[in-house]
Amino acid sequence: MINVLIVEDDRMASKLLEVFLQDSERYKVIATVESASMAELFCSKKMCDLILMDVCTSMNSSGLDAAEKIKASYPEIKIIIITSQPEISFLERAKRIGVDSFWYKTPVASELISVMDSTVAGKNVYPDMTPTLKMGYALSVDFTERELDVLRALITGDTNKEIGERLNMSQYTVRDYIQSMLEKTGFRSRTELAVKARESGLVINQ
Amino acid sequence: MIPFIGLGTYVRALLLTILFIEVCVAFCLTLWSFMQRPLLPKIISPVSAISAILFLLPYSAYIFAQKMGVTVNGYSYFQKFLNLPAISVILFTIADAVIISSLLFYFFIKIRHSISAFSVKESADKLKTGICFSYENGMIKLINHKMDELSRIITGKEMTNALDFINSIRNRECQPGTEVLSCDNDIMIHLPDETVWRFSVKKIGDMYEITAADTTDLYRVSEELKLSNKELKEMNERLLKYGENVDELTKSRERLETKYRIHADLGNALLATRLYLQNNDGNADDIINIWRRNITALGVGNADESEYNNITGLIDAAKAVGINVCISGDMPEKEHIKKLFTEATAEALTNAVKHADAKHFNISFTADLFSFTASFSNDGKMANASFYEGGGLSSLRKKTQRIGGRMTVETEPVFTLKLKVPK
Repeated sequence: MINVLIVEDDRMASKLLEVFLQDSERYKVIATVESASMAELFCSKKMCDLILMDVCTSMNSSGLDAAEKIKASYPEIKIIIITSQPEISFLERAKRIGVDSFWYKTPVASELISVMDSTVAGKNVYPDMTPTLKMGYALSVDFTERELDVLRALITGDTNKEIGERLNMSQYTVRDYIQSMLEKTGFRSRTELAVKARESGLVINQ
Repeated sequence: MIPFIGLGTYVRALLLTILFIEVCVAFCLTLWSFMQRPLLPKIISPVSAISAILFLLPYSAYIFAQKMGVTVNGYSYFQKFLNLPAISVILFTIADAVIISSLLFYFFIKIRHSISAFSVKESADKLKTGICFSYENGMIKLINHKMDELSRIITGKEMTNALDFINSIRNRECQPGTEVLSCDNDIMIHLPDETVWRFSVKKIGDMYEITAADTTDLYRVSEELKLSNKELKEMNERLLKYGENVDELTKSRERLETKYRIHADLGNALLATRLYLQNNDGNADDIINIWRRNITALGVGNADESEYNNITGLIDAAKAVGINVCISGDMPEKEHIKKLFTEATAEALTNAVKHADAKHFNISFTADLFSFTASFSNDGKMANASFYEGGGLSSLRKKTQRIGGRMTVETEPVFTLKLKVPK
């Protein structure tokens, strides 16, 4: 039996995962925690072999931050990032920090079990691309990487000057990027752009 | 050769008139040249005047004597002078006229290209900005028309003392209709004609310079900018607030989607159950599993979420890894402090298990009049001398300092992490 730790702040979703795993008869859920900051606790006691880790968890704790720490201290523990957020940086960062697999939440339980089986067998399972979503008239793939960086900073409520300082560009370049995104999406204001981007999960500032 | 006295009456009169004018002009130039620095005009002007007099006086005396019927005899030199050829008198008159004209032209050019006190005052009066120079005691050295006008509008009287004028404004002793907008570094005044003026006072050596500039447009633009910045700030604050709530919204949406999914699954379970009961079609265990799975999930979904907070989650997690947690005191109600203390609990608990192999973990929340304190200790291995703050503790220290608090770490007698934050 593979010991699994579930890190998921939605209790209904975590319960469903528990039931799926119990039904699989190959996995045993040793604990379910709501915050990624608690995951290391179980790793230090060598209680789990596999972690199903959500990205946005309780106490504003990032599943990716926790995964990075765990992988540095306990590389033998397999980690699968599970998320419903289409934020592209999540997938890129997961690959960079050496997370074993990545799964976008779907209603089909067998998909997750299949990803878990492959991960336990030593394979890395990553989706080819992030789910495409619509932002006004634009699709998520229409935004450039730099535009997404600006958008990610925009949702924090910072001014153009502050965004520029953070991203090493002038406030006029920031303004141009925002204008370009407004033209692509057809939104009327930067606030509308920021709200829609955050709501859709296209960008999440962690 | 015709002597001067042999010339016709009108010609003599003309020459003597010219000589008289030359004497007058040369005399004025002599006076003027002595007020100027260059030496040459000081010599040429009197020489021109005296030589013209030398010609003018004998001829005038002769004509006057003739008119009076007096015969001039016996003055041989005088006689010789009168008998000088007329051409020499004419040439002298012309030469003297040229010299005097040159001097006049020289002075004209000099005046045009020099700056006098009058020209300074004239230029200052033409300025559209107000300007005033005063001595240290406020006595005015120079003031232009605009500053005078502004003084009359603001204080109702002419400016007699520059420092008194500025003090009147600073004390807001102004005429009705004028409003002092600011008195910080520069003074901003709103006048009854809806213009805004900025007064600057600067000390230059032992003099004061007071300038007044019309900043109506600048003030209007800066007021508009202030308003826009205020709106932008409010908008950003709303956006930030929204960002804090959006996680909860996203979770609610995800929860709703899970519920939809469960309900769809329950629909399938109902159909499968009906088919099984009617036709004995399907596997009873699978159908029971679907029911069990969804009812369990729904049960969790309907449970009271408030019963389960982050601290109870941490205690449950600690119990699961074999740690006994003891809590004393109450967690503060303030959201930002609660968030910090919960994060500190998770960090301290993880460190207690990871580094100290602790079995008991103590949390203490205390409060006094001004602050809240959270203290975390454990019964694990003592931290050795080479203890250093890792990323987690450093990040916690920064977050504590950001809200005006202090974080301390004690390694003896037991490892204790303490966070003290203002109420």
